[in-house]
Amino acid sequence: MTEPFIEAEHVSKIYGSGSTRVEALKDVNLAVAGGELTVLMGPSGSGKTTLLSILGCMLAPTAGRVRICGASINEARPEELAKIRQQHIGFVFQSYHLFSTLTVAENVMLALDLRGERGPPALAKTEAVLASMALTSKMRSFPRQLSGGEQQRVAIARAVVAEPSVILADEPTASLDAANGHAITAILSAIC
Amino acid sequence: MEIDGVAEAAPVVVGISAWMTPDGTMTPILIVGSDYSVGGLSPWNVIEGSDQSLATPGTVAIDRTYFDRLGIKDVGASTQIRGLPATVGAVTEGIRSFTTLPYVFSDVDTARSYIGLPSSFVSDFLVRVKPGADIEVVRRNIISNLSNIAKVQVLTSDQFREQSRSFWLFGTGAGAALVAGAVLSIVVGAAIVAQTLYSSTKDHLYEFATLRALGATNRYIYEVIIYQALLSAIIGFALAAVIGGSLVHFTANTALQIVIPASLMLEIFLVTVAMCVASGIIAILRVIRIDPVVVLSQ
Repeated sequence: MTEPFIEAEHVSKIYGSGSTRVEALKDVNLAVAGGELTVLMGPSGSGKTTLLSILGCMLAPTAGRVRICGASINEARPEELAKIRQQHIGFVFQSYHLFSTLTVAENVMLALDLRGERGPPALAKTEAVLASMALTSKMRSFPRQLSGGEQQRVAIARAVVAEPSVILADEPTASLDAANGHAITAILSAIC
Repeated sequence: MEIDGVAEAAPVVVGISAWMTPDGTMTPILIVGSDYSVGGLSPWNVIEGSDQSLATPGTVAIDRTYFDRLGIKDVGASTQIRGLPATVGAVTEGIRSFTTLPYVFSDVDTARSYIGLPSSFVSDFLVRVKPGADIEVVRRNIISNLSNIAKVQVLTSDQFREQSRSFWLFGTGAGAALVAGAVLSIVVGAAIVAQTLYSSTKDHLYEFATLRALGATNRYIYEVIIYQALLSAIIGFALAAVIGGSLVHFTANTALQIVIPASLMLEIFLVTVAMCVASGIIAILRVIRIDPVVVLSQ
């Protein structure tokens, strides 16, 4: 059995206090291993995004423990969490969150730039990933010149270009029509 | 009196007088008189006539910049200074004062009469040292020889220049206004840059949050903002340099010439960069408080 990359043990998350207290997560246990596609399903407000934020080292749980590669991150400092996200986690957001002033290629290369990878090797990696997403012809385009499906493919390219251990995608098809949604799901399945 | 190291000392007389223009009105001038027989302070950049003519009593040199103000059109023109006859014997180019009071050069005796001073009066002595003499040693020799005279100052050219600069900058209302203007410019500039950077950062808060979500370290964020601040500094400085260069060009031949030496340009650039980087810190303080999780809720 593959060693889990991310483990959540008895994780709870409570927002607010008193009359505004909301228990978003209650005693969640989850283990995500490399090379597998895990889908979290639930109605709106069920805590999917909260769990994803905690697994993605962006939000601290109120209780419970989260381990990345076997090491607990509960006590990690913000800069250490940023390093973990940078080195091990790729994110795909519902609203793409591409940089409007950067071209498609620059948006993808940004993930490498954050890791200190620059120059021709970074460009070669970017070109390869964009080719795999059928976006070679759009490399010099800006996000506003792309359709929603193309923008989400760019966001996926940005998430995978640095070869992270895990990709966390938060409702990646929610902003897309059915055809584009199926296409994005197929791409994410193929990555695994 | 002979002082070690001194080759010659020429008396100089400086004072304000009144020049009569062709329409009969009087305009104030600054007379500079010197003894040309002992290597006095001759006007430089003579473009018409000759500075030798100043040895003739009643002959003066003026700068071309002040032709209109003094009602003069050429060498040889005649007028009156403090009711005494004066003839323009030489015309210079570039001898101006920021006080806009025209300089008028003449022989020392002529100058005394134009200003209305006694024949023995001297404002300053222009001292030339012997070849190879140590100027500082000569300066100290002069001071020790004149110790019996109160309030005598003996200055090298650099010291005199520095003293004049300090006087105008820190000892007059004009200087205070200039310094206050410079300080105000820095404060206003810093405020504008800080506001611009802060607004720009606020407008792109989700982009910074995305950067943090993708794993950008604080250092990476700092570099992005400082880079923006430096760009602001370079663009702002370039615009100011074009405006400043134009002012220098268009005032080159006026009575109020603006001079911006290369060293001052460099200093202004460094101040601009420091101002922009300091302003960027306000934007940094805003960005480092961003919680990356906000990008998942959008």
